[in-house]
Amino acid sequence: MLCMRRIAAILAVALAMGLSIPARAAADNDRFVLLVSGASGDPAYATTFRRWVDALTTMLHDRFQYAADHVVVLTETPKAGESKATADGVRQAIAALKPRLTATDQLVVILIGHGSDDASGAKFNLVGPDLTVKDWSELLASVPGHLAVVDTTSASFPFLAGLSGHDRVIITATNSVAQRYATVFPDAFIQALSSDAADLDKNGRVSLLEAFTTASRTVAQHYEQGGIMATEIALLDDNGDGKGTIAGTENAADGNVAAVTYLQGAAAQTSTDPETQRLLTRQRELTDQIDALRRRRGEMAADEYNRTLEGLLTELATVSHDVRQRQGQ
Amino acid sequence: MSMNDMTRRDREPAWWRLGLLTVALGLSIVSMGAQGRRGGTTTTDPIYQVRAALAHGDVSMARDLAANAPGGPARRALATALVEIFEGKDADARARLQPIAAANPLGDAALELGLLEVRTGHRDEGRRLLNALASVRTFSTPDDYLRLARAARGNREYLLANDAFQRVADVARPDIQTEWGDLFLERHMPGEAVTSYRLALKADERWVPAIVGLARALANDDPEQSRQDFAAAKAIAPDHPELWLATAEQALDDNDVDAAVDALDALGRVKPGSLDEAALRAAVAYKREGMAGAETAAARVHDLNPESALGYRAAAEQAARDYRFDDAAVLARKATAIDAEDSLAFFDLGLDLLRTGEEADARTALETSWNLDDSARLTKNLLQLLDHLDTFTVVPHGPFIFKFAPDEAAVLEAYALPLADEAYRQYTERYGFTPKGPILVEVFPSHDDFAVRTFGLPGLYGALGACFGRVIAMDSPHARPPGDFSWQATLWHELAHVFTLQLSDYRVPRWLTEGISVYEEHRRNPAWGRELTLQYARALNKGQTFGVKKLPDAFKHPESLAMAYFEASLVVEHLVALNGENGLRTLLLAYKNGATDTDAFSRAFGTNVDDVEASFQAFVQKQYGALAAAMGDPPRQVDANDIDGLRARAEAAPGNFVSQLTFGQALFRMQDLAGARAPLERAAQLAPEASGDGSPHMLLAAIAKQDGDTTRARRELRALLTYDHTNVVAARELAQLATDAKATDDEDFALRLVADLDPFDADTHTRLAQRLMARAEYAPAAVELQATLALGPANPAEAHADLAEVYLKMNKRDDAKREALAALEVAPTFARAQDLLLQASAR
Repeated sequence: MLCMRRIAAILAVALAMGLSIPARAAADNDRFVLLVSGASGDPAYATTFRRWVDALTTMLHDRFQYAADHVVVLTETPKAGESKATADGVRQAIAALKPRLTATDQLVVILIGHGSDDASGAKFNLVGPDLTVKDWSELLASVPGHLAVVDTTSASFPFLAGLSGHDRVIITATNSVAQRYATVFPDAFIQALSSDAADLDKNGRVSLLEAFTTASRTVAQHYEQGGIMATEIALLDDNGDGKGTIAGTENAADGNVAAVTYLQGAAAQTSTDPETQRLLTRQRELTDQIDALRRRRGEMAADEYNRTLEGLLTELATVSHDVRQRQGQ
Repeated sequence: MSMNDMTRRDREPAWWRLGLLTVALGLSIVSMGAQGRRGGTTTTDPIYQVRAALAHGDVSMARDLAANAPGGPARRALATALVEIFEGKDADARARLQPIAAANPLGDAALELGLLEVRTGHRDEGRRLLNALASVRTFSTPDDYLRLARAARGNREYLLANDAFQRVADVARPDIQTEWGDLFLERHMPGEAVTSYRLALKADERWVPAIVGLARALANDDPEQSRQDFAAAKAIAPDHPELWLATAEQALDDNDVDAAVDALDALGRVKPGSLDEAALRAAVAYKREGMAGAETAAARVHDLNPESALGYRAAAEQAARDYRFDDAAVLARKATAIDAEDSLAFFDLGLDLLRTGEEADARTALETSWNLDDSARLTKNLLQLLDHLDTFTVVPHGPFIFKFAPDEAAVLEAYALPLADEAYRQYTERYGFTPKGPILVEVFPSHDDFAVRTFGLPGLYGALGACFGRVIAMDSPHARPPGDFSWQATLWHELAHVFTLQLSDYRVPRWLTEGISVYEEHRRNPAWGRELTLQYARALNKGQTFGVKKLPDAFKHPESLAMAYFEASLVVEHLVALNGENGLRTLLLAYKNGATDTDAFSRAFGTNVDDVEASFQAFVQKQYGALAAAMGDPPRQVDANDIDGLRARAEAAPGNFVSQLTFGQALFRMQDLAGARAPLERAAQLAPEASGDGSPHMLLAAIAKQDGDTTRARRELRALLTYDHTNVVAARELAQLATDAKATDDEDFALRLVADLDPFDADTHTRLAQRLMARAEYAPAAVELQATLALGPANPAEAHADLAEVYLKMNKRDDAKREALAALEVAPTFARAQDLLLQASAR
């Protein structure tokens, strides 16, 4: 069970750091997703994996307005527009994506299926020969732009250290090599990506940090409420140290980049009406001031902090209310 | 003074039997040779032979052996003294032992004399003798170690005694193993004692002290075996003093005072004037005449040994056995005044004070006990528990003082306090009685902490709560897997005990107080207290129920306890049906005035137990007869995979639950869902109370879901949960189905059930709050949202905003503003929270 303190810690990371950094990959055509659903090994898993792939692709296209060619899908049994989830298929897909990506673009790689770990290293199980974490590291090494990898599989833990790097978000469903059972994290993560409840800062979008946090909570509940021992605990690394952080960790070293990494694009508000634009400008100023104030919280007396915060929040509420009124909302 | 964990860990004794202790002994060990390990020639020693004859209860042979013991006059005198001690002729024995002990202060005579002196009130002289023996560090035979062990135990140097026993742990001698068992038993370690006694009996199956020790050690955990052991001892040596003493103890445990007196009289005949007899007579006197009687009897103990606290201790134990912990504490305190070095007396006092809720004084007593004996596991456990309790959140509330674990307090407070208030209000009115308070309710997230609070030891796995009259200890929902039990039913149950125990001045028999508590559960919630309905119906079908007259005995057997609780509640239900609720009060008052079962029924209802028995049987048949008929054994055994056989049996026995259910389950397993429906429906009709994953309603719900008929699935789950009230998995499933279908009645029912069973589920509180807000029930919605926030909601901004909205509806603007600001601190651009802030700020 998560306690309030843990949730507050999650938010502290997102708020203290996230809002002061411009959201990345703002334009729709700058964002790409590579979705690989590997070998299922069992009809029941095949059904489940297919359901997750379909849910994700539908979300990306319909809800997040991704262009068809910005979502590359490799599966065990490809449907129209999909490719075979083989090692060669992965190599070709990444090779095809590289020239399309610029330094400001964003690629999110999502792995669904089974993982394994043996003497030859951790692997993501594909149709035919697998790719080890080392193979993936080499394949992704020269990808331009911002990279996020979400490995939702069993035995995914070694991918955290293996793929960790500067300005990269790496999420794994497990946090130790001993966690080798099928995971429920992918289901929770996909649900979180499109859930209003996962939008913890209520900015209208779910960041990878918010999805990770919400999914981790769902996974923990799954095991706790079922009265069964948890066989998976997800990790996030985005500071490049390859160590990873569990959701809810206080004063976490990770989370700053994931907090501003979104699958969904942002619509920056502007107006041709001068008064509305003035209000929007003031709205942004106030938001920035609130962010700055919260970062200084530890240095301020509680009374002064609360008084200043209340003033700023009240003015922001008034301005935002006026904006909404002028926009007819 | 409070000892922190580190200090206590430092003081923690090593694991006794494994012998991790290091005392001076280790440096001078003389390894026992193979001959020594077997006991060897020692068993041919005339002294040993006398001891063996006495252990077999053959006093005559012991006398003959003593009279003819070889080895000179001193050996004969020692052997004779052993017989005299056995027969209670301490003065004769003393005179015989003194010259031998003077000549050899490190011999067996000195040991026996030292123990005798301590037992008879000459502690200084006894200690002088025993100290010399306990200082010996040169050993060559098992007898040397045994002598050291007995001397150390007599001196209350328990670790040293244990260490000495460990050196001869593999010596197959009944006297050594029995003495070690006695040490374990005295140290509240019955499991270890059993091991030692069994080793003793392996060496000599007729060693009566070992048989009696085994019977004592098993009395709680395996009463049937204990009874058999008593019988075995009686067959070998019907007049053995230890047997009579243990028989008296057991009779007091069984609340049979007359039998206890008979046994003590017999003990007095075979061993007149013993301290043990006098002490147990203090227990009897307390039972019969209360405190005044105990005082008189304790004076007799004082005459025998002015330094002994045994009389008051025995009386205190009896008072505690009778749940009269105030008296027990008074008596135990007197025991500590007589013998300020008796760690067990201080331990008893500490335990009694814990049960009266006087925890600060309990700590003082337990600390003293610990300082006297830092090898006592129970003392250590209780002190650690008190340290742990110091971290709990204390919530005084009306007649109650609640103690919750810090991370559970906010949520449990919101739920437990109103429930306790409701119970208190109902019980006060129903029983016309206001109990003495404050009523201390301690709720433990760790079951082992609850068990230690209750008995000093971890374990106690079948128990959920305990009531000592003014003190309740219980498991919190975290103490067990989700859906394992209803903590609310437990609290309701234990609170009923507060009233029945106190109203009857703690004289209510166990069957009645438990019966009333379970009945009260059922009265509060028809599903509570009826979890064993099917098992009871099956027992009824087989003629294996207890009836009114056999119920008290059923409570003495662990294997029949659960069913006894259930049937006792039916008896109470029947008595209420016959005589009204006031009848219960009358019955409790009859017990308060000292009535036996027979008298109480006569006084309360003007009828006798036989009449009540007859009407109860008619009541049970009327209420459960049809169900009992359905719960009979199926007409024949059929393999679970023999579908044709199962079908034929189901067709042949349409009124048999098992036949219908197993056929339906088999078809379900084979994915013949359409076929499974009919037998499962029939089974559900025959026994709607069936619960669990394999129950008819659960399977019918699964079939309905697979058919896409969620309305039917909800109906089946609702029917299941009507009885299966702790099935949190089914409740969550119903809640989700109901939410999806916007079936608010089912949703409200299921969410309430989940929140009650698992109050630490923040999401359920959130959803429940939303439902309450939709129904404009703002005050309860606020409670749910506060619980959500205490637990850590999935979305804190939304939870704060919801609470702000609720406060606005309740016109609590300042609270609403505070919550809106809290939401906006997390999510500054959250439009709904912004609007709520502006509304709350508008004046």
